[in-house]
Amino acid sequence: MQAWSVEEATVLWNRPVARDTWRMALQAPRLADRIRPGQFLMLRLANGRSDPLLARPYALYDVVRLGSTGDAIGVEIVYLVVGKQTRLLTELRPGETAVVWGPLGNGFDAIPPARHLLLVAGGIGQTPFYAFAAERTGVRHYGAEQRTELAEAVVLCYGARSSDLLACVDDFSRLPIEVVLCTDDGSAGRRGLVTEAAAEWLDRPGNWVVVGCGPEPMLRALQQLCGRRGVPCYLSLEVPMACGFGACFSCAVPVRLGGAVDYRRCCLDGPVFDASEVVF
Amino acid sequence: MTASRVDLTVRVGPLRLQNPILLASGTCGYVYELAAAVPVQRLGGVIPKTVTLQPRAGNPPPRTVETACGLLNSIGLDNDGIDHFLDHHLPRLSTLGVPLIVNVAGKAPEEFARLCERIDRVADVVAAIELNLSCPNVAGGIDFAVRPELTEGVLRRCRAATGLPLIAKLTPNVTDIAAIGQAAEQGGATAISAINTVLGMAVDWRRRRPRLGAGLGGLSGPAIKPIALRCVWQLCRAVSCPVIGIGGIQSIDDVMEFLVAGATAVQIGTATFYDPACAVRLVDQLPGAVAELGATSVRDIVGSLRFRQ
Repeated sequence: MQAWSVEEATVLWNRPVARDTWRMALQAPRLADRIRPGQFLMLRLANGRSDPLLARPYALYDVVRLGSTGDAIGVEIVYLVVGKQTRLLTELRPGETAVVWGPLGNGFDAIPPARHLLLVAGGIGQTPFYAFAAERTGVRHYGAEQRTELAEAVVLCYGARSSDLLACVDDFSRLPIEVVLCTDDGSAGRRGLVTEAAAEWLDRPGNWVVVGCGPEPMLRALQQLCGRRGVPCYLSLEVPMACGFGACFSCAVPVRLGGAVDYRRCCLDGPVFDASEVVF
Repeated sequence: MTASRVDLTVRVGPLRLQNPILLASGTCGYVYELAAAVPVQRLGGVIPKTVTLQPRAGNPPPRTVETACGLLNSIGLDNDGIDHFLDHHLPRLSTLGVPLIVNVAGKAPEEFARLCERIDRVADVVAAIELNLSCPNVAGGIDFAVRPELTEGVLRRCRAATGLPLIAKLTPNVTDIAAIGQAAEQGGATAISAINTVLGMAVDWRRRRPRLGAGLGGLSGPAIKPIALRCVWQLCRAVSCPVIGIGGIQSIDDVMEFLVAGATAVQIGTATFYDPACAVRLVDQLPGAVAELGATSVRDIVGSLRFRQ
């Protein structure tokens, strides 16, 4: 069991970056010091509030570092406003506090070193990929561990319903990676499904490892695509969680292990799973 | 009275606890998950997730839904069975430095008794057994604690199977919880814990479907605290054994309300999910609150509720 901790975190900034999509930084040094790409944190608005009651899981987007020393002082998350809790989240101003705990989950360290990484994101699913792509291209590092196994090529296929929902594209474009945008209505990038774009990249030569994060239909399509082609594929899943640290058994994910199907806790054994094990 | 002099120890039958704050079964996993961040050895005791004789996969997701000031769950006793518990979890649990109360559930009285026999063999590392007579989420299982004679029957079988203290965990989903409590005591319960979750439901009307994978679920959290307080008070009037209060406790005021209403100890449940350090903080806050009543010991305030004549 990895160590995690609870911190009262001060909001550093909180601003909209796309339609219904916000980006927030929280000062939380203990968390920032340890969290790895693909891991997540739980965030609760404030102690004492009973409605909404529970915290929510948010993927690490990036770590905030102090300019001169480079010390990790905070974490950034990018969130989609979908309900009561996330609406209240948009009202948090710099200087106000929230309670966070983490780092939680296995993160992308569950994925073996890969020469050619194809990241496939749908909706808000691009958020965990910034830190991952930045690390595997040697641009940034996270946690105490210095990762050395860099990828030769990283491609991000990022799809949304329309251009106004695409968030943080500039950040990704500044990384030494290929960014392929897709929208359902053709308002940005190519018109069509992100999995179609991903399939075309897999036609190119390379030792591809595919990593998906997004809505379930997209993940299922990716699982099938990679299964047909014999390409290693990992999925970062988003499921409802009550605690995030393994106590509640809410976040059960059905997985196939040696022929039998059993549940695994997404918060402890995930959120990153080998796609061949996940049962949709 | 100064807070630093307050005696927090309580007795649950032969069991002496350093304080009355426990972690409730089903809300702290196998405790080691929480112990990675929170000093659980400061608590009065911990109660890991229910163990059954055979492994159970649990219910299909979604397993939890948040409701107004509450949480509806239908986990379905997801666990790997008593063999795995004894081999895998117990060795880790016994190193945590906190009294361990093992919670068990059976589909029949014989299963409860067999579970108690197995745990009795490791009685040196177990402080007590809590009998989950009341899980609302197990299809086909009998909810023993809805009928006095079934409750008493299970207790008698278990009493014969172990010398460990037995805590009967009761459901609020009954007409007369006092009668069930009396039956548990009659059958040999060392103590009674109440309440388990309140049976509930959530509906997605647009899809015309229940929100939980299993359809129905158990409600917990601050929403059920008044129900739990009422049950604890009714039980305390009806039985002479200790009663352990459970239900929506998240603040020191909540703890004090249960103690004054008659609870010898309390269990922190759903609050651990949204405030992982809650129980430990309550241990810190308890002496000050007891001192505020001019008492020197937690035991002095238990059951001190006064009704206007």
